[in-house]
Amino acid sequence: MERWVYPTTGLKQEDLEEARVCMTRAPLRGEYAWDAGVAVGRFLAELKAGRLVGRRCRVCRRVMVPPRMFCEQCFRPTDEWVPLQDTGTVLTFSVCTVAWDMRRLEVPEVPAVIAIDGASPGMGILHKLGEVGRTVDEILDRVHIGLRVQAVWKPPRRREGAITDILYFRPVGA
Amino acid sequence: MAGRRVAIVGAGMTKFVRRALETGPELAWEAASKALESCEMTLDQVDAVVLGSAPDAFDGVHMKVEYLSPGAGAWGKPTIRGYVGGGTGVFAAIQGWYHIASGMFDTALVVCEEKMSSCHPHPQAAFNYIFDHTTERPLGPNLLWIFALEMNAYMTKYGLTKRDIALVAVKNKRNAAAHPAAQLGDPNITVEDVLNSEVLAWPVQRLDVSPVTDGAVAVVMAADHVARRVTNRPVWVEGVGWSLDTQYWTNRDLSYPTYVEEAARKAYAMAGIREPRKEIHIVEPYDPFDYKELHHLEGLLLADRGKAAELVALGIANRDGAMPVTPSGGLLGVGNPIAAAGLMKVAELFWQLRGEAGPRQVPGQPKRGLAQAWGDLMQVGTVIILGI
Amino acid sequence: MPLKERISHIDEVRSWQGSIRLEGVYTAGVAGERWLRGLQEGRIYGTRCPRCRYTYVPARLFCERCFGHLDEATWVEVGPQGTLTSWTRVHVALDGQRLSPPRCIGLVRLDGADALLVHDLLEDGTPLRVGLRVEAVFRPPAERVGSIRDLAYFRPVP
Ligand SMILES: [Zn+2]
Ligand SMILES: [Zn+2]
Repeated sequence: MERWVYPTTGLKQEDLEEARVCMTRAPLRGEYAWDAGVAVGRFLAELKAGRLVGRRCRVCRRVMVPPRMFCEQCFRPTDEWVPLQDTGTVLTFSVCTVAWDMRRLEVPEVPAVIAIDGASPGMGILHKLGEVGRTVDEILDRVHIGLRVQAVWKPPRRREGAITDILYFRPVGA
Repeated sequence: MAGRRVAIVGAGMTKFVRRALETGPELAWEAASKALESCEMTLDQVDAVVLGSAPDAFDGVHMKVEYLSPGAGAWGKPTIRGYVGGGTGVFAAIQGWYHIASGMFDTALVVCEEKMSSCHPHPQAAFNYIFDHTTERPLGPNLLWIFALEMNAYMTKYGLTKRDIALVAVKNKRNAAAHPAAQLGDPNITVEDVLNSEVLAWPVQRLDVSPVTDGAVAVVMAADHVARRVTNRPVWVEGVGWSLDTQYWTNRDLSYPTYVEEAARKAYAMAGIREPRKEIHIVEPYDPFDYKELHHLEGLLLADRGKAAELVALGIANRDGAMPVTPSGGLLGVGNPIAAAGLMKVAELFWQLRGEAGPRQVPGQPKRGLAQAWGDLMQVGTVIILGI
Repeated sequence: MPLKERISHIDEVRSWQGSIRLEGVYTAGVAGERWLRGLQEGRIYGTRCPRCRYTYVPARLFCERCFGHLDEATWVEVGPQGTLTSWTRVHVALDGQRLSPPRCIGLVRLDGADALLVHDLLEDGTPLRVGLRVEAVFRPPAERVGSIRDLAYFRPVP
């Protein structure tokens, strides 16, 4: 099969840095304003008030978070808002040492999927953990799947109706 | 079997590299012209073109397939782009199959291309935009998060160690050393190398991850009567399947890829396979990260849940083992130009089943192989079964 | 248009703002690299497919009609004069601002080429019309870098 492999022209980083080949640079700059929509709009308004909410589907009886106005399994409208707790259980987590552009982070971030109390089992949201250490080893020592956590909120007047109105989740009792 | 019988009759690819001088259309042409040449066909014998490429953001070209189309032989031809993220490479072959199985076309040229190196500051940045813009993106996520979160859920549920999983990276990078197109083949890599590599997002370390790659792969597909005329060794499509899980990924059980099982069951049913562990002789599961290969083997029902790592540890998954897994070297070793990587796995089965894989040849004249890819927001499984 | 721009009570609508921050760094490709180096020398090349008798500008590595390789022997110099096949005068910039003066864009079939090249068109008072003879004007050699901008613009042949 070697005959059917085309010997592509590979470039080295220096070829670019030293401009040995012609290059065109163009930023892809798009500014957006995304409408939050009906369900998440309400979710954000409740966050501003310091509350987490979900939506119940009476057919499959799931209480869903993030909330949606339709149940994607039953394919029908969801029926009602359900107040949730601001506590939960870590379903999974990571200790991330790089940023979106692959720069190293001084203090690692701890993203986690957190099952929120009051929603159906396994219904998690993405957020971050805090107060769990400043190095990979320290964090791995303190965090495990199944850890009970609670939201740490921004002070009410600094909330803006955003997922970041919760600063992070921290271990219960910490 | 649904529809007409369809075979793959030719395959070609570019060498996979970190950054190619070639533009996307040039890469596509290099692979497509090699595929046609391999079965002595010309463009005027191609009835339809199927193009696969992952997010437009990598090449940095909107409506990428229109851009790539000259290099895929699409000039003046019925052309389609299927897009299911990382699942695209195998899905493109499935689309080639149904174009022909339906009776609409006798031949199809299936081309997958990815030029990830155009995307700065890092191709990973393009993946920021898969996260929900309102409930997730304000947290400043990056792509590694979801893999790391899934890997941790999988490891923890079954009590797997980092070492168990690192063995996959070792196997695949070693296998790739015998692949003429490989970017990262390494015959001497050890499990310590993987375990000592830089932590990116624990439990994911540098050598757990496939590289950033530019490249293209193409296959030629044909209906029964054409295939037999073109070659005396057609490789038949015996089964296909695909399925999608909910987009609400934080509501899923991340330790098991249900959608892969759903896709596999469809493909097995179509191929009349009752005991996949005995009837599949070569597996090319999607391996953008080492744990994904294990995850997918379980979803494909080729290992019990939590037990796929044993196949690797015991050597069963080696090229000369009882069930060779990723003899190509996979995404971890050959490289990961997203859509092209999936089609590379299909091309590998084509070469293996014809006995043309050279130093990578799986012994014992394998008769049937399975290729699988996975993608979107970790929610799609695409499966194809080929046989001779 | 996002909803928030269409309504008067902006506080009642929740939207999340963000930007996409990516930069494309594009190489010119095997044919493109050589084609741009040609512009740097003040020459415009094409590749002429011997089978299809079609001349591509910018030059290409392969012929999309017959899928053949366009090798060394297929490179031909085209132009620098050509014929205007269409033109437009643009009064609005990408961000919606009025352009003053407007910018004129021409679609040119260079002598010896089949494919059309799009570029700026200098307005020197000659009435623009399809069929007008135009010619390429390059930047001074010292300013050329191997870019489509090494060709400054087309202007009516005096
Ligand atoms: Zn329901
Ligand atoms: Zn031609």
